Amino acid sequence: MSFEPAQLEEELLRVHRHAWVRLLLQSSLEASARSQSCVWYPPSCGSLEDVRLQHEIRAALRLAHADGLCPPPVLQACLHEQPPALSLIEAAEALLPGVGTLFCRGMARWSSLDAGWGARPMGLVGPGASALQWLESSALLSAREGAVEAALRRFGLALQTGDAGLRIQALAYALDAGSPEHIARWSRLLDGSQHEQQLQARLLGVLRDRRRSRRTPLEWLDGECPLPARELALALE
Amino acid sequence: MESGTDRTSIVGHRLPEWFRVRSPREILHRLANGDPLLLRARAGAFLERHAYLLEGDALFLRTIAVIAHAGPRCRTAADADAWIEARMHEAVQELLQEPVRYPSEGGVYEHIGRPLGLDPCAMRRVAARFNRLAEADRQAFFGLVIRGQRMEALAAQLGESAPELGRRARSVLDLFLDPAAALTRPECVREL
Repeated sequence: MSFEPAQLEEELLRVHRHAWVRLLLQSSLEASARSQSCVWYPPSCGSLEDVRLQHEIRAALRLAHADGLCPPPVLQACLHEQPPALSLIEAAEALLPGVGTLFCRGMARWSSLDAGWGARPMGLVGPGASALQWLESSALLSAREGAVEAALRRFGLALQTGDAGLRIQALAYALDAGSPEHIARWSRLLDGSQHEQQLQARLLGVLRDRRRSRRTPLEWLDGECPLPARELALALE
Repeated sequence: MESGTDRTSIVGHRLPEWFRVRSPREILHRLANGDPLLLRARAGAFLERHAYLLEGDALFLRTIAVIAHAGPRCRTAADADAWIEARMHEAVQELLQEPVRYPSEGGVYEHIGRPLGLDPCAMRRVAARFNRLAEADRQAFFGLVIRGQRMEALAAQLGESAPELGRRARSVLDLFLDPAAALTRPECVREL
């Protein structure tokens, strides 16, 4: 019996999912052992695939609980759809690209229903903060601590939620960080949003600011900037 | 370029080294093409050894995917067989957690279900319950009913008394003969 390439791909995806669930379970167990409110069950996000994934995770949790592997507080928190720990979102994204977006979309949705929960686990922003603000604050904290890659990953997750303000924050951060590869990475993310007038206006502001303080790397302006040439010329006058 | 049927191309290497230079997708396609690690035969032997009622092709397919996923992180050069066996255990556990799927025609479920009066779909549902039983219970039923081994010989092989073995096999047989068990979904198992 031979297998079609699509069948092989599907099988590999299933294995990735199982590995992801195991990793998250393990992380939840470790977090629980440290008595932290670190749980990861993704809120409902709408699509059939999302729902199926959640069912798989829920089933895996119940099995683990039945086997005595999942401490009750973690299971209870998971079944009550509390927010995921950011490190787990990142771990999930690394294993299965796209899952981080799923989490962020769910977080954004749930933050509108229960503003503030996103902030609580991180202790970074005050009550009422949205999930996006939570991610952003976390990214900025990482940046301040010198964890450049962690900050960029967290910005990247936030960017996938489509928030223009966060794109600007990310660009500003990339310009501050200053390394060409970071700037190129964020520029590619910004490239799909040229139509957003608000984004352009804010970006121009960032560029003018950086130009004044001589912090805008010229190679980025020459090759990677997503703004139209005329707008760019105006910004640099 | 390696030949898809050239088993020596993998066997001649240490597994970790062979995996290290390949992506999971490459490993997957390589293992599916020509079965260089003899995983299809290993899957059949594994199912019989551990008394699981699963389709061998399903386990083979899942095993090559699990190995492809784990391969790049494989560090165990000393005992490749043990490493592969561990991956096969993972593959079985994953399959047991997944939804019940319609079995393929002429598969193991039709073969086993027919004498018990169960159609392949009902047999698949019962098998999902069976596979979650303790291995000792599965071994008792597998040996006495499916392999047709003699009670005394099997009891000696498994290190159990004949009455205990009979009790185990009987309790499992009830699962197969209970129509309600064939109609209800096993706990934690969904249908696609």
